[in-house]
Amino acid sequence: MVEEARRPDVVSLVDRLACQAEPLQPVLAARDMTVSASSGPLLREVNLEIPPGGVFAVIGPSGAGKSTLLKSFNRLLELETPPLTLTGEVEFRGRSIHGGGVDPDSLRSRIGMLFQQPIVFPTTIARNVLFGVRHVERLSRLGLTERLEEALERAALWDEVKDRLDAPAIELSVGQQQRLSLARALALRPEVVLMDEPTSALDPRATAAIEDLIRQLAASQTIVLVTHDLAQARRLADRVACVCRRDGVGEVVETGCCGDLFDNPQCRETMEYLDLGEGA
Amino acid sequence: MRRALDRGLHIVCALCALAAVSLLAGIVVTILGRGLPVIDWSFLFSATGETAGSGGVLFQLLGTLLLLFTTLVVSAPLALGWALAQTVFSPGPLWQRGLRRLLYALNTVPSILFGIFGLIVFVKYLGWGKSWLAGGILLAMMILPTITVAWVERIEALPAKYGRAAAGLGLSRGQIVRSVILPQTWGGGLSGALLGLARAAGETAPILFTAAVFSGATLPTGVRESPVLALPYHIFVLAQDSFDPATGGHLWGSAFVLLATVLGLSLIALPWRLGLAEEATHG
Amino acid sequence: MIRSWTRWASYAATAVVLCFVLSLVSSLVVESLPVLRQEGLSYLSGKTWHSRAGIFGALPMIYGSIVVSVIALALAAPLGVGAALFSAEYLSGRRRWIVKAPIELLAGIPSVVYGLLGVLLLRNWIYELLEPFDPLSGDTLLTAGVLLAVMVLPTVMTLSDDALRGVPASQRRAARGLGLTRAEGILRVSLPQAAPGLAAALLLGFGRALGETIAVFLVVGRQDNQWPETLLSPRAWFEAGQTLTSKLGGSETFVAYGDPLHWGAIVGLGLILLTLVAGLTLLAGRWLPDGRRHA
Repeated sequence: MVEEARRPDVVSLVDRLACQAEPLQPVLAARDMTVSASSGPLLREVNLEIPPGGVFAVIGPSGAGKSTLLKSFNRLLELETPPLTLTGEVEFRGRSIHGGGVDPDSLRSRIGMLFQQPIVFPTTIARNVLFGVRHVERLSRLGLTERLEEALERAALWDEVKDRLDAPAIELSVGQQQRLSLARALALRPEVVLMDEPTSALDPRATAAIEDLIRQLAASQTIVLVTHDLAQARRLADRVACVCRRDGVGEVVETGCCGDLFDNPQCRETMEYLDLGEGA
Repeated sequence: MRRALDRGLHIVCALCALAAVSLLAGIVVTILGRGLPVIDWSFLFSATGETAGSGGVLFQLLGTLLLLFTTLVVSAPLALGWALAQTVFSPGPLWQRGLRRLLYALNTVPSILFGIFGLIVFVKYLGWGKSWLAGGILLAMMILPTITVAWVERIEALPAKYGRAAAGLGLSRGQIVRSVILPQTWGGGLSGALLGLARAAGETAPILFTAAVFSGATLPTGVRESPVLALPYHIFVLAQDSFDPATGGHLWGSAFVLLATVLGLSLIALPWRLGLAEEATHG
Repeated sequence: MIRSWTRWASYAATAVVLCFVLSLVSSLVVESLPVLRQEGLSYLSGKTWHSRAGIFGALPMIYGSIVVSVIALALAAPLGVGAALFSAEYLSGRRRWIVKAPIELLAGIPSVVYGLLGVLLLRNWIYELLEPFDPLSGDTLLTAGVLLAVMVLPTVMTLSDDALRGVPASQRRAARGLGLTRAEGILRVSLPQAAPGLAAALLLGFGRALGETIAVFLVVGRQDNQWPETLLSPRAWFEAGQTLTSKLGGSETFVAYGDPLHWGAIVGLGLILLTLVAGLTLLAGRWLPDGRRHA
């Protein structure tokens, strides 16, 4: 079984200082963002800044709007049927993602996404990994091979599949398929990776493998992780945002450094949620 | 480059859809435009005249209606029986799949072969000559798959709780069918029947040799040697002589009446068909 | 066992229909035996049909049926798949009905009405189109093919739409999430995965075209013994021809009635037609998942 990672006190102090230091320009930000469906608002007046590097966790009860928040960052929201409307600003590296000159497709190739269910195309492992890169970048055959290996290495899958890159991808286990999906996203060398409950469909061993992966990636990458597993958030996150429902609409009720939030939550809703989480 | 492909594909697909929709619009508008002016009470209620292209289509309409009525009476019970055998009373999954495949196979049989078969059985072996009953039976078999499939869908969409509750009360399967399934699913059968009749109304090939004549008949008396007039056959024969301009208006009018009949039958079925879609998403 | 009379009634009904189907197939075989015994394979490969001389070669009619259906599909397939793509990939929910409703209505138009449109309108247009080739009339294989294309379009479009919608939305979403454009998602994800269903749609459309009698009868020219000099030359399409169905639907069927050989030859055409259509349906069935509605 997975054990809670216990941070040494020294590291926690350093973290706390880093956390409270002047933030660098956030890689993703939402300002007064409201997302509405035809039936009414889903997320209300979100103000959020995600600093570069590390793991930013989004926690909250199910149905609060965590996934919706995540999808608003790479404009995947506008592909939903029926379409959702978004007011306010969403910024990627300081520039609005809804501006006139912004191409949503190239935005999505710069912001990687991992879904809850691993999605594997009915083709070989190699083609799966290179699926996005093939279209977005013009790489030579050598370039593609290098990118393939790089992505699989970063997803901790290379050793397991390097001898059978031409095998059908569906032969992989669910945990491996999820890492494959991650490799596919990483092959595009995104600046941010969004993860929507990436381990909830996996068994504990596969979950642990993905969590290790996330820790490794966080050193070079910004990761935004939606999870309903509070223990997982504790294990992985540097900063946390809690999304709860107020009056039937999702709101970000609290953000903060991981340690602070869990030990001294400011908000009533956060406290209730944490209580429920811990007790469960 | 990628943008161009994206835009290009969008336009091409939209044009295809536009073309398809325009075809329908064009056909309907043409028939409406040329046929409607011909329609008046005398067209609908008087018999065809002696000269080609004169008079109305009364007996053709009546003949078609008689054929449709016969078709319904023959096919509905058979369709119900098949539907039940494929669902409630099915002895096993193999049987179920086999029946379903057979049904789809029957649906692909070209309609002219029904006519040829009718010629062999009804005219040659039974010696009926041309008979309205033969036409009705052949049409019934032709539309059977349509009715059956609609009914099967409706039966399979029935929530299991009804059957379970009835069985829990001690009802036999037969009783469940009669008191639960039939009352709940007859709408599916009806919509399938309307669609099937819409198709049967327009069919010429099955009745070409076996039931329809072009002239010389009004209403049948008896079964043997009792042909009828029928709208589609009427149009078919006239169309072959269409070089004669006098037939023009009459032809368009007949086509209009036929189209109106067919579309009317399809439209009546619409509420049930939409209802089924609703249940499928909510039920 | 009075309680189960419903069950036995339904079995009886099924048996009646099964009897009908069996006797339909067997009667076609039985009645065509005389010509099969007499002519054997030359019935299928013979290029001349002279009923009075007792020579029955079905090949020109097989050729006619196939040419007409190929033309129909060549026109209907791109249009139908394109329209299906538009409806399945670019439209959502209720907007889809803007395309689907007209197509369903198009499917309901009786063949004799199509035939009428062919005779009164299409025939003249084709005649004018073919002016440079000095045609005899507007009744040609091409005319029949074009008319059939319109008739077969709804089948192709509806089945293609079903096939495309069968591709899981999660796959499309994953492709878009990687930054692929909508067109790339269609070409790389939807179309490849829908390919078996699309193939089935085309096969069934082809079968439908093969079996159509009335509309083809009115515009194909009904000219026997039309055999092209070079097999694949489109030149032959600009002339009148004969298909299996146009022969079956003609007056010769009545004339043949008395003579077993002649009659056998006619019914044999029906048997050939049934075999072709059945073969296509079986092939399509392998690619269609169980439970498809339209055929």
